[in-house]
Amino acid sequence: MTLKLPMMALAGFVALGMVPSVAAAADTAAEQFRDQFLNGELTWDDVSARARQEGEVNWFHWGGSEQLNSWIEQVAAPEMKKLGVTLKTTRLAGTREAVDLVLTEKQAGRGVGEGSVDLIWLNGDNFYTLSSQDALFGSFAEKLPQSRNFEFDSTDPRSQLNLSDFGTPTGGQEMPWSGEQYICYADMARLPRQEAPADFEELEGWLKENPGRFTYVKPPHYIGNTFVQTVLYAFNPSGRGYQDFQKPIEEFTPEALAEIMLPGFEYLKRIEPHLLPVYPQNQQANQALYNNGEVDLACEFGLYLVDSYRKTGAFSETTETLLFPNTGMIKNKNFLTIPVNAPHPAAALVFADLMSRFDMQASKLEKIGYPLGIDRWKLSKQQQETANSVAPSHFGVTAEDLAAVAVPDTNASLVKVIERVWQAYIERKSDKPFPEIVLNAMKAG
Amino acid sequence: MNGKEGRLTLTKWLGLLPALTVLAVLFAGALVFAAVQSFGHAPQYGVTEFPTLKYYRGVLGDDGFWVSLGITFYYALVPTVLGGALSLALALSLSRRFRGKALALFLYRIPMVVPYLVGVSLAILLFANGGLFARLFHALGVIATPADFPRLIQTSGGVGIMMVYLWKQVPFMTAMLYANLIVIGRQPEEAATLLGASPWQTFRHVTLPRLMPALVGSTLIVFAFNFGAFEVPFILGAGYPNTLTVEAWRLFDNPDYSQRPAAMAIVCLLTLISAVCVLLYLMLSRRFDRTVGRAA
Amino acid sequence: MIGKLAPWQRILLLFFLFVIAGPFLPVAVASFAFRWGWPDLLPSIWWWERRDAAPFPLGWDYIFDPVSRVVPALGNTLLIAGLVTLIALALSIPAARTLARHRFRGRSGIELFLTFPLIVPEIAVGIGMLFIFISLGLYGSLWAVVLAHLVPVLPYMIRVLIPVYRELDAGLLEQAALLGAGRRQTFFHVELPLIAPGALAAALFSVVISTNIFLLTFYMGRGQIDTLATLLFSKVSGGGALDPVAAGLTLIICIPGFLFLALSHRIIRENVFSDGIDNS
Repeated sequence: MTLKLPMMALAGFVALGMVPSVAAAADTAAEQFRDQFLNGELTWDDVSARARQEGEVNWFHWGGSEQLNSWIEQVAAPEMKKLGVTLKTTRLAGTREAVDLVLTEKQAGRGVGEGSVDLIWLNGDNFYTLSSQDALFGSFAEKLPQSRNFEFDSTDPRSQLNLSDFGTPTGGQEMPWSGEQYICYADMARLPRQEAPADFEELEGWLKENPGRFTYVKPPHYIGNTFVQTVLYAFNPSGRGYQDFQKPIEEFTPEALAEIMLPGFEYLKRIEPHLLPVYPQNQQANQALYNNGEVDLACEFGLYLVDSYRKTGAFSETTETLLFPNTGMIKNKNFLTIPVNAPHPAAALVFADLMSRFDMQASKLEKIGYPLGIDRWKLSKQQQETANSVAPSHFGVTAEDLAAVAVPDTNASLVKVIERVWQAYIERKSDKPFPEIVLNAMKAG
Repeated sequence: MNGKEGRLTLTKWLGLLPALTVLAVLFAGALVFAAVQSFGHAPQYGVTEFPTLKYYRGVLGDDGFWVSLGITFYYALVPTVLGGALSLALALSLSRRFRGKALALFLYRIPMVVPYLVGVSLAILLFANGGLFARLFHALGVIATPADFPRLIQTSGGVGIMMVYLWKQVPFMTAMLYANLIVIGRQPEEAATLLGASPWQTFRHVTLPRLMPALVGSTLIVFAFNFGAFEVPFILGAGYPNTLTVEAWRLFDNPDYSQRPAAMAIVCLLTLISAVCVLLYLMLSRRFDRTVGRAA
Repeated sequence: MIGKLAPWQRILLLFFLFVIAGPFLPVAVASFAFRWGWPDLLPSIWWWERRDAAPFPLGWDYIFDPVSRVVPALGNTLLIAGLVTLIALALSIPAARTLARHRFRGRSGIELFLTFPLIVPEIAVGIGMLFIFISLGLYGSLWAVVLAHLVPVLPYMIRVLIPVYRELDAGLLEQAALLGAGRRQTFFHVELPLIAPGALAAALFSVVISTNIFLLTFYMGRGQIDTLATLLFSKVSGGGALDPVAAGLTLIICIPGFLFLALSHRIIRENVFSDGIDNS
């Protein structure tokens, strides 16, 4: 019976796991600070003073870009130091890791001031997850001094990009950091601009003549989802394009949703035999296909992607941006948010404010091609000129062209349905009737 | 030197206790946690249905699970069998005398001591459709475009995955077999040859039976490892279908936390299947041992 | 003819060694590329041609720049491996000694239990263990990673040390006792020096195993503990082309293993491998 002892230890652990975590009392000083700040009882000087006291701020961000990492160390960190705060960053392979950490700590009863994450760079379903779990610091964005650089007036339709993140109201709980647009790029040496397709019908015709010369990233990767959304907008039989896809899932019957999605999915099914017989799993794999000359054009987020990758050598010097599809190119913003249990809340606010400052935004645009997150029309004339002069080239298209075809992203609750429908209808080739596939996808959520 | 017979006194228990406690808490404890969650006890995700078979029913009822299970077996078995045969030939060759043996003995162990991720890097560089092999064939005029090159990575065919396994594991199995060849010594073989046995007869009736335990042991470790491997199929496999470990990772990584007990159900099933396979294999090899023993 | 290499064996061996060591050459070349476009057999533009024009460090410059955090990751990797090895040695030596010297009921049960961690998939242990560390509040710390690494390392180390203890001449220890040496004296002055070579071999293996673990490090460290393995994973998990930084990291992560081979050549007898090591 030598296994008895280990078994007992094991039983003890099971018991431990069964005990629900006990909520601990939060850091009262931090809680007080939060309430006072959110109620507008503190001046910005009070916040800055407390930030200096806190001394450091922990920012969690996707760390896959060497240029971004370098910019943060060389530009953002020294600037933060001037404000008396040390910037510490954690580079993530996926933003989900930070979200997990916040929620785990919250589960363990670590409340205001007691977690380990001060800020996260995110958008879309990661924000939705934190927001729906009540894991955010609060409505801070409009209370920062630099909020003057953003359109937060909801009566202006242009404010939507700041107030809505994949259809989830931001409620000021996150601060826009960069604006991105879904673009396609091509090598002009292989596919001259005048031969490149401009919309999805032309793409289909082009594919029939050039079989296998295009593919898109596989949903549920967000780059793939976005391509599918663009197709759905273009083929929406209601004629309202993207507008129908702004509504949350609760406002749809399965039949109604199936109806507006069917023509788009039929198109995707129709072109599948003409695509390269591979759906790359992410943008890196797609770029490899493009660089190897397996496909002639490829799509992903990145207004200044072509410029950045020409500089690092990843793309050829004949690569340019395409205006495709001219029926609507999805534009959205990504944000900085502060979780509920941020250990250095004042420093986090100071950092979010710094990142919204014009000089920081312009430097980020100039040095690494991350587009402005602030709104141009809120800037002074001189700032607008600076922004125009430091902006890298889009190569082949102008900012005006791109702005003219910009459309908003799809509601986060629908994105989940869309990816499940794609998996069933395209990937697993389900032979069930389309409305049933949509119904199952809606039920799975 | 096999130690004294007898009962275990308290002082001797003390020697075993720390190591066993650590393993019981961390290893067995981890499995119990996974099992408990797979039966629906995960209050941190708002799942409190313990005990329920719902997640197992969901997993087993999905066609995708069975496809993935097939793929998992395929990726695990093929390199084990191929690698076992190859390692046997290599170990026998290495045990001979030849010039440059010291260098060979150094080089062949490299893959053993580097992570699988290094193998992944090598596979990407060599076997991608725009990789070095494709370029070589292009330079030789065999293929015109990268699309003409067969897809070896990021497809469910899994050639790239199995190549990495072979690259990493053939040296490992060879090392185990080679070490046993040295321990056994060369006298039995020499005796057999002197008695007039052909090389094949010597191998079949003298060398192979002696190597059997090592061969079984090494293929067992390799199979069990491949069955539960993650990084290689995750990076070099297809988006769908892929191995059960990758499926479990994706479910666990899903923003929808209520999917996590399903991930737990998959890893529990994976553990169970792996254990059953290992036991079956051990039983078969024992039976084989006895048959061979009688024949020899 | 026993003892000499048949022609087919010579070809097989040469092919095998070429397949094993050959691919490192193109990786080294890739690490010095700026752009390596299809269908070029050598980099289209070399790193040093663009090195000075780049706004941010490229290739090897990035790897050696503090920004890349490769050096702290190397430090973490070695620190974790060192701690794991020390703890594992402290736990394994008494366990192996008991298992080697004494026969008792349940010993085979314990030996069976010690083989389980080899069979159970790493992801099963990893996901489950995550919750133990969350309960203990160790989530995302260096110690969580160290403890997690003990699971694959401990059983292996005990298995390596058991034969070492079996070979140990028990007579020598009895003599020491007869000569009046105390227990502690016998252990430190007689027993420990005798098992030192075996223990050193086990320690080296343990370092290599720990260095190579990705999944357990990733789950327990939760993005907060960077090691060489997690850095390389984030570089190659996209599965695109192997960029120069990824190629450089691939070479750097091999360093501990290469050192191990160079050292073990002198220290470790061939038959240690007869028990097998499996490093994930």
